[in-house]
Amino acid sequence: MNLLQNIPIGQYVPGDSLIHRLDPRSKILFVLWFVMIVFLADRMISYSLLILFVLLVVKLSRLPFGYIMRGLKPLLWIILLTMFLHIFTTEGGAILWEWKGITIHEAGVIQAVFLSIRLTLLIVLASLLTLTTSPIDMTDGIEKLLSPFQKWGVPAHELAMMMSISIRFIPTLAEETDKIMKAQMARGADFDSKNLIRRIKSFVPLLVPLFISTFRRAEELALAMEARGYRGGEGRSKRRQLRFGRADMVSMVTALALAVVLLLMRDI
Amino acid sequence: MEIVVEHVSHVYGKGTPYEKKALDDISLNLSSGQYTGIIGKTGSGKSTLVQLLNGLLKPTSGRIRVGDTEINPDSRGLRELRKKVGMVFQYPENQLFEETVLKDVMYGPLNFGASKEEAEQKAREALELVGLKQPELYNRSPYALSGGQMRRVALAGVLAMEPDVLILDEPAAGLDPRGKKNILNMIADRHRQKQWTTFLVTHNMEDAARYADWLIVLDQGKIVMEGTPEALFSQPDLLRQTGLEVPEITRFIEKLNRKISPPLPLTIFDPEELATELFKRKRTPSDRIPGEGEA
Repeated sequence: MNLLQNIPIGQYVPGDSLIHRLDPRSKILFVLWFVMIVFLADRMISYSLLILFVLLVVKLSRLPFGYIMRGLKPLLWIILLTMFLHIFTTEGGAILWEWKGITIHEAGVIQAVFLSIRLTLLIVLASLLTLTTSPIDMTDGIEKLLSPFQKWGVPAHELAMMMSISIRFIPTLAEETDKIMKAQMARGADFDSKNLIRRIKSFVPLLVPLFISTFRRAEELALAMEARGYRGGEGRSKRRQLRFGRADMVSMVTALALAVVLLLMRDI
Repeated sequence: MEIVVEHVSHVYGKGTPYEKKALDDISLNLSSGQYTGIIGKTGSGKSTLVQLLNGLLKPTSGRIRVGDTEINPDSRGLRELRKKVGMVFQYPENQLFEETVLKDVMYGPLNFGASKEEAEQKAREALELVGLKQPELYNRSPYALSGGQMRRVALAGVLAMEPDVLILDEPAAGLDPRGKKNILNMIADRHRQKQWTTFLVTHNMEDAARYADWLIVLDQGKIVMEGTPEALFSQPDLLRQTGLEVPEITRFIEKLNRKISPPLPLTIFDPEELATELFKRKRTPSDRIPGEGEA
């Protein structure tokens, strides 16, 4: 269990805000749409608009701001790295700084700032999706969204079932790992060895039992599901029905409006 | 090996929303060569306590002395301690990983710096000790064995390190009655033979009564009772307050005592012994169970 306590990114936080109550389908579609329209922004004013919009969504979700920011921490290095690369590789505009053939151009700095804003916005919005949507809602939403493609052989239900099962078993697996690790440590295993090769080797006694118990558990689960009459998605009804309500309509319209405004801003 | 536990507490996930106090100010003094049973409900802190004894967990406060090793909140490098304190977890067969039985048992000794020959020697001895005497098994995959045999191999994997202290967390869980009896008897025999300091964590009052010579009852992270099985199980009401039950045989004698006088002692845990005691009574007509008729 202690393995997972350090990774808070995207862990569902139960709540009853407007964002929590949105249909998962509209949330997923919105995030996908947002990923595309973010690229329409090309100047400070359009980025400001996007920042304001994301802040508004954060406010509406009623999640503590600090909690979301903490989720950004592990990704800080990726953001810094892309920023760094752009500063040094983009050419154009006035030269701001030059040293032994390394130059920093004005365009590079602007590009770096825009890019890191873009990346941060994407991460925040995407993590808002998982923070406000329970795993069950999420898989239901994905299943529904994929169902039109079933005609072409996309196994929508099976994919969704696989996803919910894997999410369900993350804590179980973490617990099991902890247990086997302790058992092998009691037999003198050293998982913190300084020597890299020894360290890699030390994980064999952990991974082999873990694989075996995972396979056994999968088999048991499959049997238990079959024993309760599970036969895949065909003709299967759902107790929880997704409902596309007025708030969802509003969010879809907002998504379109946002794209139009961003397009107009490009021509100013 | 003498074990002294002084004011030990353990808190899981300290400083997080998941914080949970598992042990609360535990003090114990156990002499070398003792067979200690640790009983208590699920979640009473039994497993936490034994994991502290070989340094897999560190106390949040307080200290523990195992032989000459001290474990306190800042202890480091407790690997050596684990050689002396062998720990058999619940369902230990889940930790088997090597290609052959022999190799798996050699894993522990090799980790603690034995040479290949030494390790093999120790492994063979340990396998014999747990009753796996057919050498043709040694080169088989541990996964090809029966459940009871796998359990024995896993046990041998710990015994091969030649620990002085042996901790067993529900060693017989999930075995059939005969397999269970075999393994617990085997451990009790070796305990006497090798003069281990042994700990048995169990839910099962029968096992606790029959094998341990000292019992510790945990409830909500605290020691609520401590004493010999005889002393503990002759106070059934006190024990029941902690959500535990006395052994079935004690309950049987309790009921019997309502009908016979003088009452039988509540300290008989062996069915054979009880039978002998009852036969002794049968010879004196005055002790006949009332309402039994003339038989």
